[in-house]
Amino acid sequence: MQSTDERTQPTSAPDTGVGHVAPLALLVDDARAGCPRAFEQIYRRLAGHVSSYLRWHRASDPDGLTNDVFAQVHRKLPEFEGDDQRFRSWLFTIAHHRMIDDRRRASRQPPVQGDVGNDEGIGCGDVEEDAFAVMAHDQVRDLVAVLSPDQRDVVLLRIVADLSVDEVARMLGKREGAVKALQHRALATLRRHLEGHALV
Amino acid sequence: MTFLDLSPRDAEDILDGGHLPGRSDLACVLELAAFMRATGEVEPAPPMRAELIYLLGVGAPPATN
Repeated sequence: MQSTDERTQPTSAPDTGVGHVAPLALLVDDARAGCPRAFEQIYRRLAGHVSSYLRWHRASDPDGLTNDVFAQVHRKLPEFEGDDQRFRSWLFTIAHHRMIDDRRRASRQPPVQGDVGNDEGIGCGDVEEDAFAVMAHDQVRDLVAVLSPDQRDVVLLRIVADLSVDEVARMLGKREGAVKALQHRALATLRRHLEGHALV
Repeated sequence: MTFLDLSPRDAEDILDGGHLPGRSDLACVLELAAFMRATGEVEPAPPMRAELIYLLGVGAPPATN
């Protein structure tokens, strides 16, 4: 058993400051070995993506759920095996299941008027110059909400989680062909709705 | 099978972050995909809560109600 002081130092992925980005696989190895600093670096690198994914799904508390996701990641990390991309896929699988649990919980509660999640943190950088950045974020989410649940899952996993077709297929228990058909129909639907939108 | 000249290959390219030069008819979905992708990249990590910090073994036990 390592002491707390020993465990706060990464074993193979030093954080040397600006300009150095430790490979995710090394951080995962160190975090699995019990280094909290490595886990914090993983959190800083990927928690925003997870939070954004949950926000797009209109999770009730994206920031809290993101913390829950990473708590589960921490608990299950000793069981994890794989490379960077496999870790990312595993992380979003956990996030996806948390989102489904949250959705079920929310469906059992009476709706709260205007409660569609927290917009903090969205909309900075170059994207503000985009046509979509001038739309209220809720409007863009409303657009995504026209998709069927399966289509929405595929599109958000492909775009926001940045997973490949085969990773999404594995995660959702579908064939690759089915995922491709869902993403095709989803984009066709979004395009049809966008063409009727005043800003595009 | 295509929907309004959006082929399965187009859909794949859009979701892979491609640019599809010369397809101005698909600009709207390309911009939407780019916007959605960017939200994940620019969103800061939310603050770690006490429970998670405690789990890492570097913080005090979270307060209980």
